[in-house]
Amino acid sequence: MRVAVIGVGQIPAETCKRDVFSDQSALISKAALADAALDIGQINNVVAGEYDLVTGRTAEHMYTIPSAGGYLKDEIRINDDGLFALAQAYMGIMAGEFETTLVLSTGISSEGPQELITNMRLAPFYHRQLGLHEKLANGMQALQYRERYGVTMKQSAKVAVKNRKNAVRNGYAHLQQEVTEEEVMKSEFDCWPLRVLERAPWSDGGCAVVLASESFARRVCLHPVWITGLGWSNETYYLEDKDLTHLTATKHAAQRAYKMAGINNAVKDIDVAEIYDVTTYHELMAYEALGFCKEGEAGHLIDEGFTQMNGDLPVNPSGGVLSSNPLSASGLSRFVECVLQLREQAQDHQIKNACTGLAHCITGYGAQRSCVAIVRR
Amino acid sequence: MKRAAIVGVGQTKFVSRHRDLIHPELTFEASRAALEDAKLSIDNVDALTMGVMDPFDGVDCCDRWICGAAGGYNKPVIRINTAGATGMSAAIAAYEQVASGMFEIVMAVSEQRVSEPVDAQSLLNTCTCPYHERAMGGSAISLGAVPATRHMYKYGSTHEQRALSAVKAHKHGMNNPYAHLRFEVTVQDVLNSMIVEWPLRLLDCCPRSDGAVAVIFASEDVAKTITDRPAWVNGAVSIADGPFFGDRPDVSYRAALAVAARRLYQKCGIKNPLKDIDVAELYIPFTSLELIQTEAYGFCDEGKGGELLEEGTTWMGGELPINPSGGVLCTNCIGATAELRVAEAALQVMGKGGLRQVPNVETALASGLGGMLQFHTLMMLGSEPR
Amino acid sequence: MATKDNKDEYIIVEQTWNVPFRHYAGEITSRYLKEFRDNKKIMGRRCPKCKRVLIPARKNCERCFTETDEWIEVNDEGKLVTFSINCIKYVGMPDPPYIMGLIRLDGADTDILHYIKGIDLSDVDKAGRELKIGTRMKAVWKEVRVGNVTDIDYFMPTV
Ligand SMILES: [Zn+2]
Repeated sequence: MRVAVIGVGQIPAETCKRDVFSDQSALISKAALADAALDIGQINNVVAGEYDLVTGRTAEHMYTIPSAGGYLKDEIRINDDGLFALAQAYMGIMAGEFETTLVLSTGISSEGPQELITNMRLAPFYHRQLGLHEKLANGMQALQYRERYGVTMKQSAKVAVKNRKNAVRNGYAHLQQEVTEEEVMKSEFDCWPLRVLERAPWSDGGCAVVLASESFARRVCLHPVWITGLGWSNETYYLEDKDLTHLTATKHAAQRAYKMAGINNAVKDIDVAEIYDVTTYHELMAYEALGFCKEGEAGHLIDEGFTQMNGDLPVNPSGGVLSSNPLSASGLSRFVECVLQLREQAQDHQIKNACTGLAHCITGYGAQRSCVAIVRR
Repeated sequence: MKRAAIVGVGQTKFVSRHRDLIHPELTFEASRAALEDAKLSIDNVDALTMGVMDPFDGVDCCDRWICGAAGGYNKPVIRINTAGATGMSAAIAAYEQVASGMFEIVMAVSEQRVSEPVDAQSLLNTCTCPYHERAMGGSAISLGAVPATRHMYKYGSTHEQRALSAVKAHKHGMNNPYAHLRFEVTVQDVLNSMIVEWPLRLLDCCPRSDGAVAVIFASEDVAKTITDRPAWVNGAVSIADGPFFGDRPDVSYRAALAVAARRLYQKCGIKNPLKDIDVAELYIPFTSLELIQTEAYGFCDEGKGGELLEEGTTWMGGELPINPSGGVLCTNCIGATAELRVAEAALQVMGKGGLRQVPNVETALASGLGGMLQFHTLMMLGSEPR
Repeated sequence: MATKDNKDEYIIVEQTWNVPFRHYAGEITSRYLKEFRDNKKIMGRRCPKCKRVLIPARKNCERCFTETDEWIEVNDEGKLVTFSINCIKYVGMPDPPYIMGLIRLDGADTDILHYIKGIDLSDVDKAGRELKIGTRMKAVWKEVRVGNVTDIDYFMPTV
């Protein structure tokens, strides 16, 4: 038994959607259902991947799930990125509980102060009162990684230039202007050593995926995309207690996903990767954790153009999180983009002959959690 | 597709304030207790699901902080939050993870330190829609009070009948060493207690409790090597209603519940719930919700929930005892409460209920409610696999 | 008269969460913070299995799924592991620029998170480049201490 992706949908990412956030859920759901050519009545289960507090609500799925069509259906909300919701949805189908599932992430970042909200995620006894937020932790992680392996600012800038260039060809991307290495290296500091153009913006957007059991998919879909690998992992919450220069959770997640998908050589076996580049350095660290190169060698990979659109293993043809960051949907968007690539529907940012795609996300301080999904056509 | 069963259950003592143990320390206690119950080590656990409602702990994405102590270090962890149903959703997620064949052993851990906010109701108000309902001061108590008034009007149920729900819960709770409130009350005590939100009085309502619970799920092959008497998961369903309280007049207070129950009974081959089910652990934070749930689940006819309480059917020794543990009216640790229902139902099937054990339990029902009566979850456990 | 139908106008509903919390710190964390307040000491907890001394003091070692069982005093000096300098004003966060760092205290097996001061931040980039990982840092304690991690005012270079 396998699980197929029979529909994907997204809405354009932008600075601020002015319609009610749960109305976005309806748009996202409709887009995915239309893509799958299904009626909402054919959906058995709705799985949301969404946070509390991000839109100033407790239990925001109280609004998004009904708007997406969840009325009187099975439902569950994963309080993390939508890529984790996809993993749970996959298991619900494999368990024989459902034939079809709608996975939904409504990513609205504009309604609240997200830095303060990430500060609210800290333990009240040791961390909260110290003015830490996730961007600052990303800065600490970037510095440590850079110093450990001698990664240069130019190499970091190349990641931003690549992804922002790709985003120009993606109509759903939030930031659609190219940037130069010079501009990146001269942009304002956010959390030193990170500059504004080296880290993700906040965006409003979202996406949804329709999954189906193999037998159902065969009936309704000519060319389904298959989920062949899934892995996720969690390392320590304590920044004090880990080596920030490695994305350990990603490494473990990838090992699990590769084993399940039978991938022995990531570089050879994967045709396109969508990586959670919350900063340029995180994209580089992910190359290493995902086994695209050895530890500390990611800088060379970007120098060689290996991950460019026309490189051996294109990374983030969509423009990545550096171009669009609809919080909670940013990881699931990576998955949606992989599916579009495999179906050759990525339009202007399509790469050639992609058979196997990898979608990746990290969440939490110091990339505490990670999920990796492998899809094949 | 694999069968799955519960092989271990652990819980902390529930109290109004765990001064000695902070959030992660509570999850560790629950995990350790569940592992001891199943005679497993943490290395045997393949993955975890975590249930917690952030705002009550005063930490957003609180699971990230507490999951390490729960045993989630370098393991797959998926975090669930479906409001009041959170704990049961975490259990359902863990069940699916095992039943899918992805993992052999998965532990669901839910924690809540409800004592953190100075006033929990102002937090519950943040659940309501900021455009339409938040300004009205709606809180969790409203979801018990508003249907109570309507039920009295429509079916003629009485304050005295509702009070019996509290009398029963507290009587049962005396048998449960983990329960938070352990005292008996009379109908008169309930009727004399202060009005919280009319018609609900203090003893119509649940307390706020600190604590954690862990339940271990295992695949069929593995379960048989762990225990001779696991609690088989014979069915699990969840259901979503709309978010607006105003969309749910009259019987619709229980419409989604009734639909969910029908689906579950179909899955498990239950024809006559009152006869076929031996014990139920239901999410009853307010006495009015006992009437609504027993009717929705088909334990009695529409509007007859009050009579069912009077007849003694759902008391210990009755045909279908509800909440031998004392239930939510004795212990409410919000995000963990619904998982506690699964844990207690499992204990009944496994014959580990101690003083609160109902004799010869073959089939046990657990329920969870979340949102403004919006998200419902049900799980059926059995001594034999379906 | 009918109001002008201005389709471009959207109502913004403003809301602020203002919910007070009281977090009881439990047995272990209370002792950790009382040592800050009463003795200007940083006490870690040792794990009986992996033998690591954990800062902040924790009751559980998550790597070993066990309870820590021993208080070990660590130095209030150590080496800078990494840092970042916040340069933009964010809602609810301190005024920039400020430095957040991780310091490995002598005698501890994990770091401590804290502010770093005593660095001229008039040119942030220069400050960042000159502040080297590995620099020796020392805690500066407040005169009035209340049992909070901010009883340490900040860490600063020892030279
Ligand atoms: Zn240890």
